[in-house]
Amino acid sequence: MFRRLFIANRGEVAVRVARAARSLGISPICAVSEADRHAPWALAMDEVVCLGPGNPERSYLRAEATVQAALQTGCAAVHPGWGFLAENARFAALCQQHGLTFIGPSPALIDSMGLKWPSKQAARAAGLTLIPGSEGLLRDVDEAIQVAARVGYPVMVKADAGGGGRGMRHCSNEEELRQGFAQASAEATAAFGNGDLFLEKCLENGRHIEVQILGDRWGNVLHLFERECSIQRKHQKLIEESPSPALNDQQRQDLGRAAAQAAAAMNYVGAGTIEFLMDAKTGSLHFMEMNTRLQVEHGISECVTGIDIVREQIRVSAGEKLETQQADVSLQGHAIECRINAEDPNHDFRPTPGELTQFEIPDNLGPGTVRVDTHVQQGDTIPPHYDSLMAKIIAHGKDRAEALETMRRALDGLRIEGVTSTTPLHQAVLTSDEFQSGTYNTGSLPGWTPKR
Amino acid sequence: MSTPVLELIEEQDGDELWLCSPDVGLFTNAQLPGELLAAGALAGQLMILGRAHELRVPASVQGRIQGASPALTHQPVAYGTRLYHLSPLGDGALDTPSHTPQDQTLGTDALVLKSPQTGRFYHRPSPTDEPFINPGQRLVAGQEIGMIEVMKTFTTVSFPGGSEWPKKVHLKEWLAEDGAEVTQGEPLGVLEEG
Repeated sequence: MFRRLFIANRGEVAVRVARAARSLGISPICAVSEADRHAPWALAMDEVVCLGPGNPERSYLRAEATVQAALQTGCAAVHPGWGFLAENARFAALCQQHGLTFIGPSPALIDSMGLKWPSKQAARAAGLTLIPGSEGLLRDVDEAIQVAARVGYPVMVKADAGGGGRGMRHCSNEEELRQGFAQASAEATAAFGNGDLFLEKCLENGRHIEVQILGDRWGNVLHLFERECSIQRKHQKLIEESPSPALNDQQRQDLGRAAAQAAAAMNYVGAGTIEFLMDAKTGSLHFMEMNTRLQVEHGISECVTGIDIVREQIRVSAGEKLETQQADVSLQGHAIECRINAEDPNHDFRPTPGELTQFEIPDNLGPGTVRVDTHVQQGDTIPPHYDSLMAKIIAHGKDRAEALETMRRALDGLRIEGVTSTTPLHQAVLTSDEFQSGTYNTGSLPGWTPKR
Repeated sequence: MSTPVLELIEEQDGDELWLCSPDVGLFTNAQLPGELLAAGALAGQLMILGRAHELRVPASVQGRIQGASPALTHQPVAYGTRLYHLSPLGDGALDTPSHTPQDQTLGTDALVLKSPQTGRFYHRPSPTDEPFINPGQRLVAGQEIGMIEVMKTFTTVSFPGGSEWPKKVHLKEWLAEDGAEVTQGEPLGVLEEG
């Protein structure tokens, strides 16, 4: 097992990885920026290495500096967390070149999952169902119109190299498709130097359901059931729960098995997530993408399966075998997570960096248990350079009703002053009819009306 | 392939002046305490993934290294790690040359040879040699008049000549002694027509 582990990340995920490392007797060493070097979470590491100024382009995103920092602190492995360098195949390859174990899958696999169409091909080859659409990249707008006529409008044209919503157009009819095709192609050429497009049927008001995967170097692959992540704002998840209220037991077993078989077909090593979109009309599940890293919402899967995903991720990277067999993984109750972000839900979720003058999370008020993953404490200043996540509150109960009641009490007892947070939105959504009945989808935030 | 150059980061902490590492790496070939660090000079190297990067003193900084010597070979440093503690070059030495006392006494029409660099100025090629030039001797364009040492690197100082100078000119007197520390732009000697 590794003696020292370099964490190429910050904040909450750095704290989470450090906890898993310590549980394995590994010393956590962490990258920091100038803006973070005196933060309490950084001081809790065994050692930190400052990579540069607060702007992530000049610190957390610097692959060479990160590898040099890991080497000169005597680390044998690098955990990239999520975001920053976590899905950067070049960084993973650079780690390998310098004899460091990158905690994640191979650079080639990261690469193929990073491009949209190759990832879909790999998923289909592994037996997953794709969203109806074009067979590969489109030759021209005429082919796009033919495909759209076959699958039915509305459709979405998407850039192969796309990301962040660029090179994407929603088209409700042929006229819009003619325009959208040209615009998306031009936008993708400008942004990514690659104007290739493909087309998918638009599955409106679907549900985002994803399966947690763990694989080792010995060919063993587990799934840890699914997470329901349909409560989103601007494609960012806000509330997640496991298991999904949209699946029955048979569907759950089938989805988990299909995802695990797909990951096994890819020789997947480490933690990964396969994301599916559930068609609101047919209930069928279609592959969207695979994330080759730890996810922010991994904690709810840990609660309902009892498996420490980050610890397993480190262990399998060191060449050890998964400790659990699929038959021994069972669902233990229900977990819900609320992301407490420093942003104002009443003003289009604008970020609200500043000094956290009060930050109190109540002790477990029951009836279930509460887990809080956070890196901030009262008196901290939330820096403006990074994402707005302050804490994740996870409520775990013997069933969904108990998890909901536990979360309600935790949110009611939460005291945050100094920065505006997403807490009121969570309270509104959790008490909405749609959430209570489990019938919500990605189309709206039920129960929430912004106050101006 | 030429060696990449990184600029050291200047940090003013109260009265103290520090030069700090601009990146993560192994710091090596450090300059020793007592040595002069001039603006633009190279001061040690940073090894990043096995590749040497020269460290350059920023244009705004010069001073003498004080304090304990840093570890000289392959010391791991991070962005912002303090590498050199500098003391300024004595009162007035860091002012712009036009404000130096010598300059004021010379008047604006004086013919002054100015130092092209900060460092130590020598009148002779080596301690046992004759001076390049003595007061009273005539100067021609391109003629060597002295040497400047910056961190063990010697550079010849020549009389530039050209239209800014009289056709016939000689050295009237030295203002900088043999072996004197000089700053960039500081007058080295006064010339006189004829």
